[in-house]
Amino acid sequence: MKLRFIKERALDELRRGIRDNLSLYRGGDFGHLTLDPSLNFESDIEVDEKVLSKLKAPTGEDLFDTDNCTLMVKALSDLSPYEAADERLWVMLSHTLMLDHARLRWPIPKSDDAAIKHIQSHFFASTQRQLERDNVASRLWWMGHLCQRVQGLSLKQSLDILLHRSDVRANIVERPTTAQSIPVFTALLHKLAKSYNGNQKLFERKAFRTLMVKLNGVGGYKLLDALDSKSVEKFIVEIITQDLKMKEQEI
Amino acid sequence: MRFDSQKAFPYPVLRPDIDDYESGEFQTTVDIVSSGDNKKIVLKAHIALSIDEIKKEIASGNACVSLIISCRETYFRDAITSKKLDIEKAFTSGLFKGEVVVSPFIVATKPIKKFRCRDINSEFGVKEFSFEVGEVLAADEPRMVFIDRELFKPISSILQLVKQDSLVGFDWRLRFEENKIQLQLSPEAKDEIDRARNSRRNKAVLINSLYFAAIVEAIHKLREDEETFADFRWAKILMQQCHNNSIDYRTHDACETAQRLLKSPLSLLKQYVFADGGDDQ
Repeated sequence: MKLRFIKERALDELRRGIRDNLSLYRGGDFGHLTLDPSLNFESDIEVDEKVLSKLKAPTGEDLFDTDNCTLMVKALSDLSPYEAADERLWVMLSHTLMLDHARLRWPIPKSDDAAIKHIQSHFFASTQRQLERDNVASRLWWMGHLCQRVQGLSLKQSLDILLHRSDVRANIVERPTTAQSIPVFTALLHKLAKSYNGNQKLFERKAFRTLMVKLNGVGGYKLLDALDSKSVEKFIVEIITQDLKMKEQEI
Repeated sequence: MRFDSQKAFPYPVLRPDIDDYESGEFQTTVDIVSSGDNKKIVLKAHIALSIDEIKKEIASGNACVSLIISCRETYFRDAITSKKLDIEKAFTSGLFKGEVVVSPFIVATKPIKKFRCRDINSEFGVKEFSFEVGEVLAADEPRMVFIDRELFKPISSILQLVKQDSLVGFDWRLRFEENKIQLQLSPEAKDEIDRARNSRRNKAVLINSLYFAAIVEAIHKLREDEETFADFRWAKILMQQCHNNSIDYRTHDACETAQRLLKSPLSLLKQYVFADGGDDQ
């Protein structure tokens, strides 16, 4: 099935009409967005609906983000970063194919005012931050896309590591230079992988933030992008031993 | 690493406006073009480097030119490394959207010991320098370009002809408070123009009348009140196309700007309207 994008005008109206549409968000549907050709256009991008239908709802504290990121990347294997940076795609998915999942993953608050803010955050994606972190659909794809680039670790391993602690995820993804640079991102994930399978000391907030500050300091004077990930890992090991005062085996 | 002309390195770095080197240049010209089918983006760069000692380090494999190309919106970042001073690389166009920054450096790829150059400022106090792997010998100011499929379409793609029932005859209005600039026409006029614009001749007339006027007015709107209009898609595309064409829309003559953005519309009249035996389909 081809992906549909909501048209710009329809998107603007949807955003303005959240309060009027609260009942639809809570328990109705937005099928008209798909059915009315004046509200959407079809792209050339294939979406595997069957895979998308396997998205897992939270159970207790388990949010299944790793599984869902993997499924999203698989369902939208044709998607390019160019298209993935387009809010119109994600708003369409959030309101149609992923509406049920959105309600389970991000339950809508009872208070109308809180519900409106919640919907603006998780059903729309007008800012870079919303695309990466908040929108129910786009965040899954972008996490998966970033982790797919890591060599030497499977997608599941990379996702498990990146999503293990919210502070780690935020510090990597929301410092765009780190997440953009494949050698740096790869090197970080490899070291975090070692820590994940060991004592997990690198995941402690103070240790990880110190590591990131020091690594940024190195990056201020060395062009880490021009190096391979093994060379960047050496810098990380130096920071672990000299600044965090840990032995590599202890992390 | 971000380019910062004020950053203090403990070794000389050849940069614009900094006298680590008393004379010498490292300048990069960058061109980013779309392939004819818009499926590829091709980056072409030419590096001008005047310091022979740095050239020697590149030739011997101790250093290389490194162009860092990055795009925040798509999380893309890549280093193009080369020993040559003319670089060309093609990328899939789907990797970029919006602002793309190209930052040129010369970087040590092997440890460099006892680097000497007579052009280095004597205030360093020493004559020999060492560079570790990853340290930069030269840096140039980043170049920024906007890449978007919308930008490779004609500028007229930001215009939209719409019916306005309150209009009669051939009066028309402009509205700028939507993501496309609306050219509002009476139902009669809209139908007439829809029929007419399939012909290249008629389209040439439309571009030189309605579209041209709309683009000029759009430029004036941005100048008068950029804050109000800047978030609309038409404004972003217009500003980005101006940037990519090195036009300052705030100061450059609006009529000339519109002509450049519409790619010399008068030439279309010459080709399709004035020419003898011009296309009359």
